[in-house]
Order: sequence, then C-alpha cells, then structure tokens
Amino acid sequence: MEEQIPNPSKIHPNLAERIEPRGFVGVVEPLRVIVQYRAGVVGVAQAIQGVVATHRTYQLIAASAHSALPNAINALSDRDEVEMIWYDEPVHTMLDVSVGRIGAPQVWQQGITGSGIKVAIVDTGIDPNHPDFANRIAQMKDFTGQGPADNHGHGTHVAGIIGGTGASSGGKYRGVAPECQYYTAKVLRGDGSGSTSDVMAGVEWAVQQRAQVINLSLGSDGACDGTDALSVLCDAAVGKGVVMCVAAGNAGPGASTVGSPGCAKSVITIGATTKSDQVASFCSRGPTSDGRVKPDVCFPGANIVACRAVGTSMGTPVNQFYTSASGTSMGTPHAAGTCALLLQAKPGLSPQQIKDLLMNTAKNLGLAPNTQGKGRADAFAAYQSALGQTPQPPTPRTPPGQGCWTLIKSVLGGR
Amino acid sequence: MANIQPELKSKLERAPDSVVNLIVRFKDAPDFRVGDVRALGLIVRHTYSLISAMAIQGTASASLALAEKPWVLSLEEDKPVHTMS
Repeated sequence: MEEQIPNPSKIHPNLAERIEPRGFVGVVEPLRVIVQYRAGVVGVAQAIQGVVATHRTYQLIAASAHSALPNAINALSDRDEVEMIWYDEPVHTMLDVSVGRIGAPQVWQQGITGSGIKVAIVDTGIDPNHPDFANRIAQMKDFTGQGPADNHGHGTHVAGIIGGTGASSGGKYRGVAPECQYYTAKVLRGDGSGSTSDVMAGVEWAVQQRAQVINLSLGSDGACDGTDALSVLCDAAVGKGVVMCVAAGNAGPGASTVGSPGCAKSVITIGATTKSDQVASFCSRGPTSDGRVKPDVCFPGANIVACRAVGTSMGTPVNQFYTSASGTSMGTPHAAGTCALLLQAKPGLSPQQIKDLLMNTAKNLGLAPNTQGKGRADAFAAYQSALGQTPQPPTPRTPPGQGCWTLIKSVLGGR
Repeated sequence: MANIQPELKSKLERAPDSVVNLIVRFKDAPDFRVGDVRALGLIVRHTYSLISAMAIQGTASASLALAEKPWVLSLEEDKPVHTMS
C-alpha cells in the first residue's frame, strides 16, 4: 500500500503522537479513532483501505468510530469530507474518583489512614520496588515456585487500590488505606492462575503473620454452597478474628454464579459497581447453592486505575506506574482498605462487626439483594457508625476531572 | 465412605492409574494421618492447621482407597483458581 501523506491539521495531537513516524519498520497495529465529517456526510471511512472495523456511528454529530491502520488515518485526513480525527481514548475511573466515591478521603481527614494495620494480599505477588509501596511491605511469601515478585500485575494492582500512596502520580492514585502494612502471599503464577490448595496455604500463612485483613481477589468457577475446603478454611480464618474480603466473581449477570471462596459464610463477599453506581454486568450474582444471599456489599470495580507492576501489561497500561483494570478483583481491595481504616479507627472490631458496618451503611442502589447485596458501601458512613456518630446518607458524587472529551463521548453514547 | 462428589468418584474410577491432586479433610488432626496417607502411596503436598485438611497427590486408585478410611471426612478436587479481573 502506498504511503499516504497526512494532513496534520485534521489529526488531533492525541492521535498524532500515537501514529508511528513515516518509514517505521515493524508491526503496525490498528488504532481506535473517531472521525468527524462535514455535516450531512457519512460512510467515508468505510471506503478507505486499512479501516479494519467500524464500531459505532453517531447521530448527534456526523461522526463514526473505527479501528484503522495509520496509513488509512493519513488517507482519511486528506479527504475533504473529513473535519477531524481523534484518538478514541480509553475511559478510566481514576483511583482518586473511586476512592472518593466511597468517602475514604473524609476518613483520612479524621487522621485515619490504615496506619499500622496488617493487610495480607493472597494473589500474584507484588512489585516490591513500586514507589507507592515504599517501606511498607512487611513480608513476601511465594507458594508458586516463581518467586514472590509479581510477574503478572494483578496483585500489584490490588495492592495499589488497598493502600498505594500515589507517590508516582503526585498523590492522585492513592489507595484507600495509604499507610497500611502489606503482607503478600504469591499463590497465583504469572498467568494469573493457581490451585485451591496453594490459596489455602497462602491464607493460612497470612493468619500466621497475624494479618488483620486478608484480600482474596480470586476464586474458582462454578456455584458452591460454602462447604468446600477453601470456603471452610476462610471461615476458620474469620473465626480467628481476621477480616476476609473476597471477590464475588465475574461470571454474571446470571443467577447463582458466585464461586468459591466467595460463597463462604463468614467472609465479606464483594461485588463491583461502575462509576455511575450501577452493579457491573460481569459481577457474579447470588444466591449460593444453599440459598444464601451473595454478594454482601459492592465497591467500585470498573476501569480502575491503580499500580502497575514493572515488566507487566495486565489491563490497559496508563503509564509506567499505573494500569486500568476491571473486575470484582478491583472492588475487593476497596473493601479491604476500608476494613483497615475501620480497624485503625476502632481497634477490636470483630470481623462480623465490620461486615455489619459495611452492609448497614451501604447506599441502597435499589437492586435485588442477590445483585447488590446491601448496596454500594461508603467508608465514611461506616466509620461514623463505628464511632457511634450518625452517618449522613451516602450521596453519589460527580467524579471530578472527567475531562471535556469524556463528557462529549458520554453525550454521544460512546464507550 | 468419605463424602465425595459423584462426578469426582466416577472420574477416579474411570482412570485408576491417573495422577490427581486432591484436598482431603479429616475427622481428626491431619498430623496424625500423614503416615497413613503416605502408606497408601500418596504424596502429602501440604498440611493445614486452620482446618483439619491436607493437599495430596497420587493415583486415582490410591485416592479411592483413602476415601474408604473411616477417619477421612471428605475428598474434593484441588480446583484451579484464577484472578477476578
């Protein structure tokens, strides 16, 4: 294909910086773009060679969304009918938005940051050199034979949500409990998978380290009734006084899709909400096989930007230090961080008391219990309730800093 | 016989020479049973203390023999787990 000369005035800078320079030799990938046409013009892009897919056509303005090779973008920019071509920016829920949504900053204002609370993450390990965790990783243990460092990225992302300081982002991507202590058990390999028996070993190790909160953003497939070995072991950990936050799973929206250990009786089973406070469609639903309501409560879990482990590309990398990911895996660490805040605010709270605080102060989203549990949790309301104060009704906040282009896409109905 | 899912039992019976990973729960402390389990030709991969359980590896036929022991509460597959993102 002949190399096309671009018209730079029609290629937005956010797209131009992503197009490889002329003469580039290597694998050329299609880019997601939005093309705006002169009024009344449609369907130009589809006719251009190298426009490999059409994702959406808009009505409010003459525009369409495509995947296109750089040469096709250049060709489009030279067409009279085309007014502008933008890069189709991925939309993220910044950690500052999700953490703000649950009211964590209001808890910080009371001097409560999770300081000294031992939080264990049983996952893919952690990037021990990420600046957001500096001097706060107390112990790392490997159960996979691959070493304790995170060679997948999931565990590091989870750790960032729980308590990253945001040091690599000027404090923007700060986790829920930014002064907690980390204990990490690597039970999932670099491909993100592992065995139930290793998870059990990791939970047991965390209990032996006297962890006060354990985060399990993992699970197995298939509905369960809470009598399997991993669920029983998690309940036993709760019996030892440890708060267990467990992902509901991503097998929704069908009923009875919560697997083990999300089906365990005593753990806090976490669903995921979107930035508009809807339960994410992927979130697993109850009831359990023996008819109990799950999840217990929801936290934000869609398109969350948090820490990225060095050398990994889990999710949608934002930059060297952060990546965006979705799942009940991301809602669960919001819960674990909140539990750390509550334990610092009122030491001695039992796991059941913490579970009750989160559930009883959650914002009711008006959905079925087996979809939302008690609703979307609010850390500040739970904190106030723990101290015997009258919580103000949780109110959704408009996410700050969403940006003009995100707003335009929202109006257009884009992703 | 110990509590064992019918699907798992059938799977073990169909391929008695296959090597399987299982989680065994006991009616008493697992430390008492390490020798008994090994005597059946099974490998003890992990012994737990929070609950009376053990992760084992061995042939399906040896696992079925274990399931017959009166001190075994249940056998289940050591299922794969994965991240929830």
